[in-house]
Amino acid sequence: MMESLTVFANFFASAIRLTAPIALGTLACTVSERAGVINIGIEGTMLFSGFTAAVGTWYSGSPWVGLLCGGLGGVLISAVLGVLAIYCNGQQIVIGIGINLFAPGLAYMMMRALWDTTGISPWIAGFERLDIPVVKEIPVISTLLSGYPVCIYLGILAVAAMQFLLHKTVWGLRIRSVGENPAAVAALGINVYRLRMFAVLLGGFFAGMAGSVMCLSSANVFVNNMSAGSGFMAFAANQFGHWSPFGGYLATLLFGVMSAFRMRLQSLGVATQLTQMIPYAAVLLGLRLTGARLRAPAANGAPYIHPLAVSRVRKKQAGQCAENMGNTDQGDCI
Amino acid sequence: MKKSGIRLSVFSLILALLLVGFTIAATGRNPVSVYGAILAGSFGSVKGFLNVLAYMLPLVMTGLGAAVAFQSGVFNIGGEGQVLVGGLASVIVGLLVPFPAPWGYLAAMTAGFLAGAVWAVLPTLIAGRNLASLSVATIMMNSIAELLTEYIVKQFFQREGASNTETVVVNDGCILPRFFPSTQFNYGIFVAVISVLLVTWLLYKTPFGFSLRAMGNNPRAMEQAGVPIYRRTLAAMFISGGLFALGGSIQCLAVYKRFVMGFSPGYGWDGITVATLAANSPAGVLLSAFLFGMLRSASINMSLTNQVTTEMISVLQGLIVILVASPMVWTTMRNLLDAAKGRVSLLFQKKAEVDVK
Repeated sequence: MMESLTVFANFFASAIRLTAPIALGTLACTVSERAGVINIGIEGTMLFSGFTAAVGTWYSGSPWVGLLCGGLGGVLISAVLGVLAIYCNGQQIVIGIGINLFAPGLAYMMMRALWDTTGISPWIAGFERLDIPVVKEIPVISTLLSGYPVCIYLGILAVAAMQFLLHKTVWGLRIRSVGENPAAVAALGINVYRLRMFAVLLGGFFAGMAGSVMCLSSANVFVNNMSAGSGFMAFAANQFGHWSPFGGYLATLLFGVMSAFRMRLQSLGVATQLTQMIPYAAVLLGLRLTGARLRAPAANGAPYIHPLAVSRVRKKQAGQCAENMGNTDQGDCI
Repeated sequence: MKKSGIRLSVFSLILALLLVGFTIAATGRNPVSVYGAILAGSFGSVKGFLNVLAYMLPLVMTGLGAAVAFQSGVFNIGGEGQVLVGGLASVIVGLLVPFPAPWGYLAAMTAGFLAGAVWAVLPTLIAGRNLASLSVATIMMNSIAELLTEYIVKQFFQREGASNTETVVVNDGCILPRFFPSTQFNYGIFVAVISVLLVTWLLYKTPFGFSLRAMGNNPRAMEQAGVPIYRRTLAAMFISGGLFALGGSIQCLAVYKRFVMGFSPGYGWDGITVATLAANSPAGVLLSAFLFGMLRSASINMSLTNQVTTEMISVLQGLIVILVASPMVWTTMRNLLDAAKGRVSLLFQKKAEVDVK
């Protein structure tokens, strides 16, 4: 009994370890989509921030600096998405696809300039494992709860904090309503653009943390294309978890259990390629299951154009029109 | 392609080239010599030019695939998987079918088209018309395609003694012939041109194509008008996936004559950029595919690989996609330019007035 429990705990613990980056990525998607901005560029953001995290750690020798650098790298890339999607009314999904091409390419270019390699970075210091004082004495619980790298605990804390912030505070209510009906939020005198931008940047910071965790929790190195689709999995997990931080975390755990299951199957001698498909197939299954009942934030993916911004453009056009007609009265042209 | 669309594309291209130039300079190279090397490699010799045309062929096909999908408002970003599956399907037919020359490769390419089409329809059946879910589902199909093709080749078709995962050479009748043995330029150009004409006809001259384009502009209005949106989505994915796959087929049957794991340096993603830069017009795809053919050929050409890296191309592609997707960058820049122009002309006016006085 005890033995099977330990096996189960190990299984679950490896699921948590495997999905730590995906969980943070899911959180990033949740925050920005709740504010109405689809961030499919999360994959590229995670790769880029993984690189900046590696650079930060390499220069300073401390994974904490790396985590910060990774977060800032994520903020930088999502600022591109935020400015273009929110202030320039761009098409969010297409911009996201562009970011997925552009951000990793930029990271590899810089990697070539910095380390003269494109495959793999030098070894860097990772986070140490943290044993929780009392819990580590209890046999099964200890494998389940204790002994993860510090950043994984941070990720779980972030999920809990965002669950609270999004659902129990005024700020969270505003974020959620700006994703549902931005016009109503604007009518209350709140700046929709700034609120959305903040949410996207916060999401970017979480995405950056996800990239850093990917580099600093166990691999301790940045490898070309190391996220291998986990950004997209995060994106799907966010939908599967119905746009809530906690739900998203459960969804990632489900994917994580699938990945851990995959490792088991592999040790049984099933072909690697087939077992590697399992997480992707799980995502497809998840999309299928939630597909019918999906209720995304109503304004998700739609750019918000403030009425005043529209009238300003119209006024300008009217001015030009009046100029062309040779009079100063704009009345005829509006 | 509308005039404003052309202007937007040209502006985005120039701005992206400038930004990448700065990045190249920042990473310690000379952007002028890099761009010069690309131009010299493409137009410096007949062989170089024909090679650019050869690299253009798969990009035309994938660009067309993306254009059909985007015009219908469907985000098929699973092109990479469809390219792989299409390539493998045609090679398998090429290995098994003993037909003589034209029928052999025609059969192989048909198989490729169908395989890619099915590979695109599957995620649509799974995810429905929800754009975000569909894009994730198609991406998952990319990863699955990569693993599945590797598995199938390793398990059933692996060439004895080969160090990487690849099949043996396909039957003679199934090889897509080259025009000159020394360059890779091949009969795929006929497939590309015919596909451009067919897609143009389909999208702009038939009621079906009209309904696809209208669905892309306003799906709700089409639903109100009684068009079966879901079925049209499936049809758009079918055509788009098939076109993507033909890119893989051409590359496998003409250039490699076998299936080599990793033969595609991202043709599926290239197709998205090609279509975006062409404002999703089939004729424009030819032009922008030529441009990216130049870049691809430069990145694969051994004498240039040190200068033109694949990362550079993907940065350029990403920037182009981002800039074309947000036209307001262009409007803002134009307004600023107009304002600057106005100020300058005002200055001249004042100067003229002073002169008169």
